[in-house]
Amino acid sequence: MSQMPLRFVHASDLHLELPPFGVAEVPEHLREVFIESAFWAAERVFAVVLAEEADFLVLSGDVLHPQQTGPRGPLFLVEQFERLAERGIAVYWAGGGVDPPEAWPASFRLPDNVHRFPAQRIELFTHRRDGRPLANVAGVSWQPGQATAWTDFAVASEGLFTIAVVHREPETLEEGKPAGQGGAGDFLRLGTIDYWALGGSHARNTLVSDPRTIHWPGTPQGREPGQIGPHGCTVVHVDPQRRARTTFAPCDVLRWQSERVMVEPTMSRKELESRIVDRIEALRQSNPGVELMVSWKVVGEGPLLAELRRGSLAGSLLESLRSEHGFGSPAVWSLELTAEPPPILPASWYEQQTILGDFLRELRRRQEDSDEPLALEEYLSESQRAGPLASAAVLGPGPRRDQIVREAAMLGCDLLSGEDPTP
Amino acid sequence: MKITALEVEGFGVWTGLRLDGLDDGLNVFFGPNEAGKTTLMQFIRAVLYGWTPERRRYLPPRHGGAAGGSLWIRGPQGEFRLSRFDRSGQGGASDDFHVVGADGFQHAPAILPAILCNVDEAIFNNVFAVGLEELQELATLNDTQAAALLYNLSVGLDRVSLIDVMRELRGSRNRLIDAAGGQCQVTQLLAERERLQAEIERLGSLGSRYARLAGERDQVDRETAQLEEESRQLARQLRIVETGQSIRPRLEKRRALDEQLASLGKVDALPEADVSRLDRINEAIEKRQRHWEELLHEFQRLRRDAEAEKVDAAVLRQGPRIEALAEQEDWIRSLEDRVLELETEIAAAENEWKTHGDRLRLPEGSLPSFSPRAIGVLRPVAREVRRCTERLEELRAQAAAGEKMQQSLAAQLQSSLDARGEKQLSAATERLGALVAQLRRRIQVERRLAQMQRLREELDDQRRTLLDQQMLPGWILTALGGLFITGVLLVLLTIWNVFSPTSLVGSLGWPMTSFGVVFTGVSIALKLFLERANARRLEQCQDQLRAVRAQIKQTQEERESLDRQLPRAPGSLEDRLQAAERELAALEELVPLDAQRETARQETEAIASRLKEAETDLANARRRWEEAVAAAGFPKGVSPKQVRQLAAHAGEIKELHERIQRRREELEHRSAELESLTTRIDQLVEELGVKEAGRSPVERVRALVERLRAEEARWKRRQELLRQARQMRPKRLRAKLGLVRLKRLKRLLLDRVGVADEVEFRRLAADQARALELRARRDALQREIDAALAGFCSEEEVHQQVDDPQGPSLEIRREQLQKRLESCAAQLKQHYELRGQLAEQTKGLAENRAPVAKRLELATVEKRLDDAIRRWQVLALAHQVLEHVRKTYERTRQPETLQEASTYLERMTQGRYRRVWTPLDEDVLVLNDDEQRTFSVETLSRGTREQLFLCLRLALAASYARRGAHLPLVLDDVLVNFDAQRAKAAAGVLRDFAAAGHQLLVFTCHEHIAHIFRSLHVEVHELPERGEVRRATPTPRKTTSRPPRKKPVEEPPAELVARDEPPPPETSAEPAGQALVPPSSGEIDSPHPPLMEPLPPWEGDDSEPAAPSPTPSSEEPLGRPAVPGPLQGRSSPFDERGDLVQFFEEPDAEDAEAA
Repeated sequence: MSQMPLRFVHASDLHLELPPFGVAEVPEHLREVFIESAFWAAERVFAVVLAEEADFLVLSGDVLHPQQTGPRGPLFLVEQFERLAERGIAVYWAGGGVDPPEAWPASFRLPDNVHRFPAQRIELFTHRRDGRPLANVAGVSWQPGQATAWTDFAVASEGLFTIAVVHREPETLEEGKPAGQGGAGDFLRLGTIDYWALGGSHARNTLVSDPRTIHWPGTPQGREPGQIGPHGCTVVHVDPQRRARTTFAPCDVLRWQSERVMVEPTMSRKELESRIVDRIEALRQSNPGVELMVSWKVVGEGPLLAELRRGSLAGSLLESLRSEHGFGSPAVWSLELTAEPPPILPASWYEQQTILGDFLRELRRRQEDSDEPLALEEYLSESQRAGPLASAAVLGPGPRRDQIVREAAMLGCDLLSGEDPTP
Repeated sequence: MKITALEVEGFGVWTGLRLDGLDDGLNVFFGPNEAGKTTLMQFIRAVLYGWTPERRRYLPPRHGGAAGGSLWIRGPQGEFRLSRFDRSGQGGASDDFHVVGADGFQHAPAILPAILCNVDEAIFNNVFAVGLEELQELATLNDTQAAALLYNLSVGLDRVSLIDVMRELRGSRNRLIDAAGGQCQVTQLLAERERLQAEIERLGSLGSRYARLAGERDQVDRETAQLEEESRQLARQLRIVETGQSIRPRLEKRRALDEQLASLGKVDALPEADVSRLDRINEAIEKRQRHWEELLHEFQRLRRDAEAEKVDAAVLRQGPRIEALAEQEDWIRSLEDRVLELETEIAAAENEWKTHGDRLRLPEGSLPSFSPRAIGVLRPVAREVRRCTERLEELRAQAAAGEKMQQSLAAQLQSSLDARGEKQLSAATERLGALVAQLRRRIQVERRLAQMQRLREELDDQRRTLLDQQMLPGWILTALGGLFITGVLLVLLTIWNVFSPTSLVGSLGWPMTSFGVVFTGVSIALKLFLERANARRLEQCQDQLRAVRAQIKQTQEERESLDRQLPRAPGSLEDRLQAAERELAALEELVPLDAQRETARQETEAIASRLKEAETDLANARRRWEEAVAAAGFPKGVSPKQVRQLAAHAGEIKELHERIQRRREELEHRSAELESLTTRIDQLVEELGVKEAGRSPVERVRALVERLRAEEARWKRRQELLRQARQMRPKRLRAKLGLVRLKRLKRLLLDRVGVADEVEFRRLAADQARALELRARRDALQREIDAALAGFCSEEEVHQQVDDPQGPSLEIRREQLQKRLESCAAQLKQHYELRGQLAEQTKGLAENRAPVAKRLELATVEKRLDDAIRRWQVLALAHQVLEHVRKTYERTRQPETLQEASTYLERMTQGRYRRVWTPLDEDVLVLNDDEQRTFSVETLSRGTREQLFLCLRLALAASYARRGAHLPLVLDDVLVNFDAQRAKAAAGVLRDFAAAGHQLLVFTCHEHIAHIFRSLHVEVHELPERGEVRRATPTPRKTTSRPPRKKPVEEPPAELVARDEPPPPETSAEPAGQALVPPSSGEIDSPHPPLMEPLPPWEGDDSEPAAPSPTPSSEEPLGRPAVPGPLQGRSSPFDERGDLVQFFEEPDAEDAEAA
């Protein structure tokens, strides 16, 4: 039986309850966008489904936390589902960590076109077009402490394009056995599932694309400065040979960017500002229609970098960028402007017989002894040590510890050096 | 710079003193109280740095002579004579200073700083020329540049103040997180976060609130729908009632017609030709009925004959089985024979099997069937059992030996402890160790108590002295009174001058008045000042005394506490300590024996542990053997030996076992077959009830065959009769069918008309005409009724309203319905309003963005909190590392001066204090003792503090020397507060310090200190009596070349010498050979080189010998008018004041020396 061509949209991690975070201050004129970004991005996802005339929509979990959004979230979702129902478009929804099936409030009735997968077992739906079977959609909702094994999706496809929907974070495919020995990796690549519609990752990711597709569409709206670049959903086209082709459809309304600007030793403030403005224009052209949140990191060497790190130059520059480019439509708002410390300080600094030299050598000793946690309890009172600040006083191994040590080194260099410490 | 000689022409108590030939190293001078030691130190300060008000107290000289003197020095710039005089008394300069080189060249005074290596006066006074008072004041040192040599740790080599940096870090850190609990950024952010979290939690109930409102809204919707439906129904019923009222007459007419029609019955179904047709059918039925009855009689006869032939159907059904059994008759006979044969063979083989079991001594019937492979499996298990058994025996032997060894060592140890009356070594050692520690501490407490007692006695003495001084001495009171009276007299004289024109004072009245007022005021102020100063000193002394008493009391309590803890025993504490230490040493010798015993015990325990393990292993091996034996099919309890014997006959037993098995299997098989056949035969006989069947299977089969044959013949006859009856059946059926068809035609005809019989059929035809007329009238009425209903409702509904006999009349019902309809409308209105309100509320909740907005706000707070904590971590880490660096600096990078001072201090305190250092962040000194405990200077005893300060001066002098500033050290009785041991150690330090190339001039008034120096082979020179004027011929020095004086020193006026010269000292009181002052003849009768020489002439010395001073002698009473009054040529009354101050303070200074 040959496969009829079909088209569906795959989205996950809508997180309607989760506004952007990781920003110390929200500009007042963008506050509305921050609050509504998750809803607007989700609305764009449904608009993509309608515009593409998709056969169905696949949601791979973490769509919303009904209690945390308040009634607005479920109402919004029901409204969008009804829009799809009017066009006869089905929705296949596997719950994630925040939206297990039992969490859906009983006072909101889901339309009949919405098919939710249970958490206890894998359920198989056969999607039909005009009464003829079009595709199999098998899925299961996420359940705490019960990770569904890949191989549990051993369903009979019966010649139809088969989709597995599950909320599961990216990981290695080789569970237990290496490739070619019948392990999970072989099952994923060669089994009966043609398309793994996965959720749980805010970043878009395609683990395997041929002959089977294992894909995370990512969240439609980036939530924090670390989630840079466009976010959206995935439109999947299936041809008669049961081959799936994925197309990215951007849906975000707020886009995060991280830009590195290089400074030379002879560069002036005006030149640096001009270079940043050029970069802003390029960003504006390459990201039309979305509000841009940009974190600037200045690297290089020279007195300008030292002034950025120690003086008020960074603040005044940031203020200037915000006032000139942060209030347009769309806005390019500069979140921060920091001078990135060099990864390695000059060896001569460590060798000098000064307080700075002693300081850096002691710090390096602690950095090299990475297994020993940095204990800072002595600077907290008893009550603070027993409170929420207890975790702040101990820095275990990890990237944060390394970053703190590097920043402490630069701080010491700034304070203990009589001259500009420009490596 | 070294001082080679000094000459005091007139300074304080000294006049004409000359000390020559000073050593480049240590020079110790001994002189009694008030001998003028402090005066000499002040003289050196004055020559080098000029006259200060303090030093002018020593002027004019008490015993006359020119005010000033000279120092002969030698330094890198050469040899010089430094002379400084105050010639104001002779009308000259008040500071007459000259620097004359060895070649007689007079240098400019500006060369002096170079000679002094740019050491300023403050440093010289506090470092190089110190008395007891300066020594006790460290703060004075802090005001000099020398402090930098002590405290230069706070600034790093990179010119960054570590303390400033740490302070800045601490401030920044506390602004983020204040450990003291003050307001800080993180605390505020945490509070903000908690507030937002609580708010978000509260907003979490929006969903349930919405659900409740939605439920209410749905309920209202349902109720509204019900009301709307009810309203519709009521309106309809109302209309039905109204319609019923209008059509009621027509309905009654129609009912009357219907009743008439009903009374006629059903008349419409009668066709006109049916009557003749009914007659023809009746005739045909009668003919067919007769033919059928004849055929029925013949058929019944044939059936009765057939039923008379009885056949046993069961026998016929079992016919095939009986035939089959008959065919197996021979097979049954052969099976019976084979079964008998097999039973015989099995009995013979089992006898043989029993013979084998008896031979292996196995229980009867327990000889198993086994295979050689099963025995091979048992072999390693048997070996394991044997190995475990051997190991167990070996360990038992080791355990016995270890136990014996342990008992032997324990016996030795116990005998030693019994000999000392102890029971347990560790407890005895611990008890004796504690006793030794307590005794040592008790002895230390005793010593400390004795020291404090001495200190208290000293303070008592000092307090008594100060108490005595609370009442000012008589001569002071006299002097103050004289001054007061003089002032009053001058004032009175002026007043008298006002009233008496013949005044003696003339125009000097007002100046005299001024002097009088000043004298009066000064006398009063001085009296108050002195009294308060004495009171302050007494108060300080009393405070110290109270502190010492408190310490003594505390120490006594400690001693009593220790005495209570110590066991009572005879002998001194030292003896008891020695005895306890000896006993402890003896016990410690037993420790190795105890260790051996403990080792043996541990080994025994280890062997016992291994023994248990071996027993467990053996038990496990045996258990595995039992399991293996059981698994191999052998009986329980079989031994390896038996298994080995079985293995020898394994083949034979196996073959026998297999044979028995084969025979038994065949026997079972044959018996089963025979049993099966017999069962089948018996079952057939039982079922068919064959009574004379016989006993054997073969006989019973034959009886069954005979019975079968008889039943087969009977069955054939019966079949023939039945065949004849069946052949009659088609005729009979055809006759029956024709009869039935005719009767059905007649019935159909009646049924079509709807009557039961022919009579009714005939009556029906008459009623048909009447019915047609009534039906036409009813149809007309029906059309009228339908027009009135107009399709709005059915006629039945109108009938229900109209014909209801139970309910009210139509009019009343109509009114009731109208009222109910109005009530429904009112309720509907309320529901519409409520629904609107609920819709408004749910819409508000549905559009509420507060949850997400608050979460956004929380996210920003958490970000700020994370940033603040991260910044705090950076600051705290940087501060922690800098704290580490600071400690390293304090530990390893102390200034060289303090390191050197530490060396001196350790030696001076005989190792009690090892290190003096300064913290990085403050200008204070801290000491570490031999146990690395830390003390501040303020907590030290007075003597130790002075030792520390002396060490600091020595180290500073050495430091200056290394920088090129070689200046002599002048120490004025600085060892006076040291105990004997430390004084001796300090003297040794001073001696060695001088031997290192430093010149020291040490003055003391204490014989024991002089004796200490003598014991260290240091020369001690005695100072002459104060005021003694010596004139002697100069003694040439080897180390100095001094040009001869051009003119001899003039003799002082005889009267001055006679007046000022004190009584000659009693030579018998002086130590033999120690007198530095030669007799008046100038002959030196001393084994030591003469240091006091007559003042040699000095080229270029244009100073004149001091003229007899008009200044009154200091010993003269102040009130005596020795000083000419202002009118008699005194230049200034302050000159007189200087004498006064000198008189007041000179004894105090000497007292301080004595203290």
